[in-house]
Amino acid sequence: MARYGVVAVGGNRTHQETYAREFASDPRCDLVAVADEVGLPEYREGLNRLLASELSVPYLSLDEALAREDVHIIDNCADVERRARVAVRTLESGKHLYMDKPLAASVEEARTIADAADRSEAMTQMFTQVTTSWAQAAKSAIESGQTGELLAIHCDMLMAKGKPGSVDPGVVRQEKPSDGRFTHVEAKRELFDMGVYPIALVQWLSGARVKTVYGITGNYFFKEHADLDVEDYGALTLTLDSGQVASITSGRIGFASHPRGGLLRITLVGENGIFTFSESDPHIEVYNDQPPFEMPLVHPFDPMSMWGSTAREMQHMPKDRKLPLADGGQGREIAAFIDCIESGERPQVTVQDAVHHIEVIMAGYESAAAGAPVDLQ
Amino acid sequence: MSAFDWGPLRKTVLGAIERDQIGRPVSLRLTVHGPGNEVELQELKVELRDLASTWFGGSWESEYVAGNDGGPFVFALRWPGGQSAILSLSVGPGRTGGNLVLLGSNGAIYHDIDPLTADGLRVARSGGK
Repeated sequence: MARYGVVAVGGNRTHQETYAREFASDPRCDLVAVADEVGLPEYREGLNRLLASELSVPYLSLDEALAREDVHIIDNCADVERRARVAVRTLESGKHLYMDKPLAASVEEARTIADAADRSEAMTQMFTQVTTSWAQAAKSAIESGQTGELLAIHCDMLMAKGKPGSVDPGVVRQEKPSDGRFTHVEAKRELFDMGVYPIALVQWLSGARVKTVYGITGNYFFKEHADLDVEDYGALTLTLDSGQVASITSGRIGFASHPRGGLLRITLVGENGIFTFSESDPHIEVYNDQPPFEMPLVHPFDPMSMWGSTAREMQHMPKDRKLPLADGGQGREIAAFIDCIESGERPQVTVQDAVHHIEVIMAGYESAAAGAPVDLQ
Repeated sequence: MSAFDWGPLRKTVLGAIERDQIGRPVSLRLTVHGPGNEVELQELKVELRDLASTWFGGSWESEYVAGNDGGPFVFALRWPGGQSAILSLSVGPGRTGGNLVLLGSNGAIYHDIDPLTADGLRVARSGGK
């Protein structure tokens, strides 16, 4: 019997497309409604209502959702510019909070969420990759002593989506500090949107805070990013307060630039040498006379193929040549959150942890703009 | 020179670039852990930067280094045309090897660096393979 009523804030063309269905499929949960703030742009409310219709649940205002006693968990996929407001209201209502990533659009907003969590007894968790089998294997290698003393961590999150090769190679993009805007229909800021995953992994694996950030961003692949003057690639070189060095690469590199959905990888260097853990390894490779992957048609409202709903509309071909031996464990993320609510155990990445991700990302933009390292302490 | 034989990799990647298989090379991610000591580390540093320059067609204009004496190091390099490289290198005991990602504007090259196979440790340094 379901014990936790869940309300999904957000709708189609957000990660709610996945999260809401995962909550709904957990036998411990009952998806009560889709909800959001009132006064949203028409397209956003329309996409929210569409998800509610697909899931056969009512669409409520956030006020109505927070007032209901049969609602125990708010799953917050509001646009990142509104995410902090929804998060703080959720925590003040005493309900558990599951957060999309990144936590917030600024360090100040992120700290506001963490402060609200400090005042609340509710459980919080933000979506990351830490529950995947390959991240867990990396963590185990460190904790078991297989790596020896950890010396360096290198993490990559390069998504193979979008149609690349359209950017003007003669233009070198100059970075600028964040203007606080991240939600665009055509493209996302990739250091922010993708970079949060490897930054979270570095923090989780090392247990350390970042001391110094050196950032490089580029506009290497997509006209859509160039037209918005946002980066499609970001790399950070980090020093940690525990003494290790780390680096991350992040971005969106194009459909055909990886045999699967993208490069999701952790490389550890320890006293016992180098160890690599990735989403796709170990794997088998399959070759046959079936047609090779073809670049899908570009969806007019989602040219970067950010969402499953638009991918289904464009009938993307499956990439099934490189098949990992292990189940990636992606679906464990939300089950792990429910486990923590039931056991009282601290989730592996709370909103308090995630504040530091935003600090690192914003320092990365500042560094890339200045061409100099930024000290976080 | 370090324990790694970069010649075959340099040539094969350059061939793919020259055949326009990845478009314009824009970003290199190269992580290597090799055998040896401070001497080999310095040699590795020179060799990896030289590989990057070969594939990007010229010298970098800015460089930032993070790391401790004796490594590991991370070098962040940037070229005048906006291309970038993150080179992570270290030496010491245990498992050696690494990985490479060279992103192009319209494709990518991946390679797992394995000193026991294609990237063969040089006989003179490793005592044979």
